[in-house]
Amino acid sequence: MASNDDDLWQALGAITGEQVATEADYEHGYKREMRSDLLRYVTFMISGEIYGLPIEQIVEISTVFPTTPVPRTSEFVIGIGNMRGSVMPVIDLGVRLNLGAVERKRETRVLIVRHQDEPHGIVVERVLEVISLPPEDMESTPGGIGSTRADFILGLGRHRRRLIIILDLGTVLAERDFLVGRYRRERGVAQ
Amino acid sequence: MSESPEFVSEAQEIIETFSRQLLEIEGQLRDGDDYDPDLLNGAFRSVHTLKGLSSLSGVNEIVDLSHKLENTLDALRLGKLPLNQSALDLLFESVDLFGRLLAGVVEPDGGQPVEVDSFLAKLAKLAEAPEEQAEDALSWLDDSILGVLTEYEEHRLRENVRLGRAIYRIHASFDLLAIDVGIEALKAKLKNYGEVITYLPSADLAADDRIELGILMGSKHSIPELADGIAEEGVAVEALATGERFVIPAPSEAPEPLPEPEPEPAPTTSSSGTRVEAIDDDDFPDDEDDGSSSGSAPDSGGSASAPAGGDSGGASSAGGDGRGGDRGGSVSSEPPMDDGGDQVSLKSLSQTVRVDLRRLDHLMNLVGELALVHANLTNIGDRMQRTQLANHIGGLSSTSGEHLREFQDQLRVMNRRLSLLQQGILEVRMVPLGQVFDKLARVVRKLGRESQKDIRLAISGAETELDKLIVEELSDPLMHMIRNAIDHGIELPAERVAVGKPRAGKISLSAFQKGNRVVIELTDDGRGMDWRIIRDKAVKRGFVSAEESSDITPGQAINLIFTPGFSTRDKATELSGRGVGMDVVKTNISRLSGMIDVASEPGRGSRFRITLPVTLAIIQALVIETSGQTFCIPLNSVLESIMVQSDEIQTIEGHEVVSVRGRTLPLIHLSKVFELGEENPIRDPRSNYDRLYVVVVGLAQHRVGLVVDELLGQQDVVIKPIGRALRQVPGIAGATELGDNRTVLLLDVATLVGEAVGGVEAAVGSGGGREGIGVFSNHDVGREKEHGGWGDHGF
Repeated sequence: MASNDDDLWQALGAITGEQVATEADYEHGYKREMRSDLLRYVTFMISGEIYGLPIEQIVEISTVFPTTPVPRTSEFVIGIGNMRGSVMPVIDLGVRLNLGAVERKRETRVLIVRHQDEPHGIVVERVLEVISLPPEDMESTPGGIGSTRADFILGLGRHRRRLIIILDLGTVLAERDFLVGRYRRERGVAQ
Repeated sequence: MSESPEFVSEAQEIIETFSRQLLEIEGQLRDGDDYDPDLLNGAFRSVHTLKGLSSLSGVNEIVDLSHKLENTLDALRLGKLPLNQSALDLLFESVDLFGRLLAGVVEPDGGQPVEVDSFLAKLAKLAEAPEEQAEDALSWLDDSILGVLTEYEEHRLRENVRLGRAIYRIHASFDLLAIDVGIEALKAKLKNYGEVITYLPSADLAADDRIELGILMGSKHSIPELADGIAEEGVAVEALATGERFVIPAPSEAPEPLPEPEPEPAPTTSSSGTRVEAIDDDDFPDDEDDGSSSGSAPDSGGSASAPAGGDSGGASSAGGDGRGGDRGGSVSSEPPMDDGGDQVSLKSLSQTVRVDLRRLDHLMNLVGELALVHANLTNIGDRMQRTQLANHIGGLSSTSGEHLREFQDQLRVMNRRLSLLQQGILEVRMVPLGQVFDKLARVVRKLGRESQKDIRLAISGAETELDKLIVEELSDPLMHMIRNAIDHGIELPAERVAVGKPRAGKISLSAFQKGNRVVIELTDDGRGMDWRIIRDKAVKRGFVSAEESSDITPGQAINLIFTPGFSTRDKATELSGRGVGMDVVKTNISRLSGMIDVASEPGRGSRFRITLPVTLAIIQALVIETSGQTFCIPLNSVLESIMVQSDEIQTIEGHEVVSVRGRTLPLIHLSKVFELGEENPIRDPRSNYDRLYVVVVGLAQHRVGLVVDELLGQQDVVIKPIGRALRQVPGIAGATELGDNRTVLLLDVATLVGEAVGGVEAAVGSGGGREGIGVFSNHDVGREKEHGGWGDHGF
């Protein structure tokens, strides 16, 4: 299917990171992946900064649902919530990133992510859009960012001149951090 | 390799069966009995099935091993090789080998390759073992019989002769239509007296609708005994005596009235050169006599023999009569037993379905959600009823009232069905404890041999059922305890004899259900534990202070072995060493909401008792509220709920206690332990409220009162996992939903109680300090004051 024309468009797309509709798209709907190595990210906002997570880590995006606080957990753990029958921990990403609690508004959303095969809810201020970033537009974390936050950052991407902070789900949802410090040693060992 | 989880679990099951069969054979050999050949056949079949299964899945190592093993087993069951201890040892070794091969299948990268060659070499060596067989042991037997026996049957025959059993032939005639039933019934009776070797064909038929069979069997019993046992009309017993072929006439089966002493069926000596048919021929009149004398509509003379083959072929039933027919005509020598066995095993296989536990969990969740929907519907119904009432007052028609009632009736029906469904799914999750016990039996055997100790394992209650999850989690703690019992409990044989105990140590593992809990007891008759030594060690280690130790009871002292850090450091000392890692055992058990305690008497042995809930998936819970938040407490750890007047509360060194029926109960405020904010500021209880609800919870022998704001009632709840991250939260066991779509936390009582009496530090494991003793001291009022508290641990 790849005519030279297509390749040209794809090359363009690779540079801009944007998708360009082709004739086929007009016929069959705008669905095609232009470059197979483009990574797609769901972007969202927390205190004026744009963050992103790889789309494949996200199961769904939900409006805020009720949660039950769990004692003895860190401040960023809002509690557990029940989303269609599965119970999951829900965290406040604002608190987690030391940016202050996410204010609950109409736009507030919960990202349901799958981490280590278990669902987790992540509360964010606002979900923006899904973007594609070519790997070459990603830079690794620059030095000089506050040390704890740097751990959460997988890399930085640029999209339409804005900085997208790609988060590392592994550190954001690190198990040991869920517990208040003084309880940490107990059962973790036995598991 | 295309191995699926199904393959692994199925193979595992087969290997377990195989090992069980071996254990049983060994047990029989050891008890001086000769082993049941059916067991060996079963073992042979197991390995054969395993071979087929693994070749289907392309697991070549297992195919190879099972093929070689199959050959050896075949030789064993045909008597070409003697089945002795060394052969058994080799077979047991193969069980381990299979296990390791299978583990390699599950994790291809894990561990080093399993070394099979040395085992195969040993197997080959065993096969070379000289074969001693007095060939003429059966010379007395008529060729006509020997001629039709298969190799296996012949071996069994020899074996029976070697064991000094007399060989009998039972003549019986069966109704063609019911021959399979008849043969089975007769076989079942005969099994009590000896071993059925084979069925011999009989020549001609008495009647079209009956068929004659001769059954060859070996037995230690005399003819009258046998006849008594069979107690069936028209059956003749004949002893094939040693020496030349001489047939003793059998007083054939006497029916109830016992009409007359059996007419001698003497002429049987015939031996008419031909074949077995001849014998039957001779016997035939005898049978007929029997029948007529007892008036049981016997076969009408030896008239029509020819149609035998055709008739039996036409009859529906499988093995028995087909065989009879064959023989009637031509005397073929099919091995009949094998056919039958295979059929049986096929049948049982098709009746079970392997299900992934997660699917059951999923079903369980769905049921839970249905229950929620039901609750919502009920709510709607109630609301409708209220509007209805209002309308009624307003003078509107009442037909909608009818509908509403119907609707509510149906809701009630739905509720009942739902709970049946829930129960049904729960039952599916239940598996017999035997699954674990079998594994343990193997461990006992292995450890016993390694440690040169003679150990008998008595198992009872293996059929007791528990949730699959619990059974799985139980195997490690139990294994650990058994290992302790063997390593440290049971003495060496010489030592045992010296103190007047039987040479062989006895470990018994028993399980039984008690209400909605299952109790598992592990008892040994070894040297037991001396509570004084344990107490002194505990003092030395600083778990108990010297003055505390002075009034500790023996029971409390022995339970100190569960203290974290107690045992490991004592491993090398002269203390019986028991309790190595017992704290881990205890942790594992309490994670299953179970309890464990121990009793022991020096010189007499020890008894561990584990109490477990039957299932973890659905439990009864007490719903409580404190500081505006709702929690569930598993009802199986709740002893009672009481109301306490605030002036009954006393403090001992700042820790609140209350006296309940003469016992001092330390109190924990849930809101405080969980730092739930101060809706009920409780600095000084006496000034702030007059009464409070106290839920008395117990773990093993420890009692603690949880102070809560409200008791909201009891409910069946489906426990949901809360994820890896939150599972570590001490004091929280899981989550569940209540009717209104609220997620509610389920308390982990074991941990809370542990914290209350042991202090947070102890629970976290950073060195318990003297508080540790508190765990064991609730019986004693005096001691509570020193360490009953939770309060001084920095909440």
